[in-house]
Amino acid sequence: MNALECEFLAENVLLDIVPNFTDDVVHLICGDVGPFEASMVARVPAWLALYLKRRHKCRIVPPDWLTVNGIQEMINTETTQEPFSGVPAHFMELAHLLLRECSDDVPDSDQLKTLVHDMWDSRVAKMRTSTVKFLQSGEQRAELNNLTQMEITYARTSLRAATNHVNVLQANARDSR
Amino acid sequence: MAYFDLDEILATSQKVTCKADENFSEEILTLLGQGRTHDSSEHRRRQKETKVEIPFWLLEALMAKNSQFATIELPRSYKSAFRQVLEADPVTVDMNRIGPYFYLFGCKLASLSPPERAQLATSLVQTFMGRVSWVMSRAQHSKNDQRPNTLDKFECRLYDVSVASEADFSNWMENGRSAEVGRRSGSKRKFSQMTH
Repeated sequence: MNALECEFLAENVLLDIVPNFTDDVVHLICGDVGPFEASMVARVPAWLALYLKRRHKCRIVPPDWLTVNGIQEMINTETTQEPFSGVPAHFMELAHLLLRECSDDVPDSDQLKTLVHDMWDSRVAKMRTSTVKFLQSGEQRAELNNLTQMEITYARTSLRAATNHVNVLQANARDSR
Repeated sequence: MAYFDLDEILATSQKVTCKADENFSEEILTLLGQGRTHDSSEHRRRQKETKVEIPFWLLEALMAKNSQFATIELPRSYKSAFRQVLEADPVTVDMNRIGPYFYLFGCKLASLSPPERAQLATSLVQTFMGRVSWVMSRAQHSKNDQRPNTLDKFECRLYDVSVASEADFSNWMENGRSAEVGRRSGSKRKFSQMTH
């Protein structure tokens, strides 16, 4: 699994859009969307929202957490508490997609870009310290809550390689007693 | 470990110094090209106490048959003095120089129950734990840096996978796929673009 696949999965999240056209219900494999009525809010999967946006058929309503205050609060909780804070599913993927594709629909998008990056950095830093703590503790298992798909993808290969190696060495130490 | 595992083959080709014990047979020396042509009884007796260097894979096979065969001497980088160095500062040690298969060879050595076997095995775990965070953070902040050349072969692999996932992420951040799709004004995604 890689970052692009995470993005692909994140595009199934439902977003609110304000279409500028009127149309009937559209039947899709993932479910029916619509009916669309100009300037009435409709809920569609992110991929469709981005598709319509690219064709200038709608305005995307950014999710309520994607605001300067919202992200700042998230960073605050993230840095003050030790466990990972609960963030919206596909946080990074969606924030990145929306800020890249429809920055005109998101207020303060430039400031948000920096904040989203800060948020990611603080979570990755936390993940790194807890990974090291876990490896050094010699525990067999650990539970990590509230990680998003992208973070898991990011850490998976190296964490797995490191824990496997620790396992081999520890098994060897047990046998050698 | 697999029979044809290249790492294992390379790791076990390292030589181990050991003291010949009672049951040491001289044919081994001939096999290794260290044998003598003349064969006096005095020479034979002397042979019993001499130190011999045998590749690990051969020693392992011989010891499996007869553990009284020889007494292993730990290589320098696994001895107590060096273990203390590793304990004091695992990060600065140049693993590539002291043996590129430090951990694997260490495990193999421990399996032959040399003296200080338990300490050796514990020290391997401690050393890796002391180094792992350094290796991983070097990888995550690498950008275009070269891989540090003080890594053990396994650590190299860990470094490489960390660099790869970091690169995958920053590549997505800088130019994700949909940026490219978007430029072609909303054309449909091709299946081939999703599976690469």
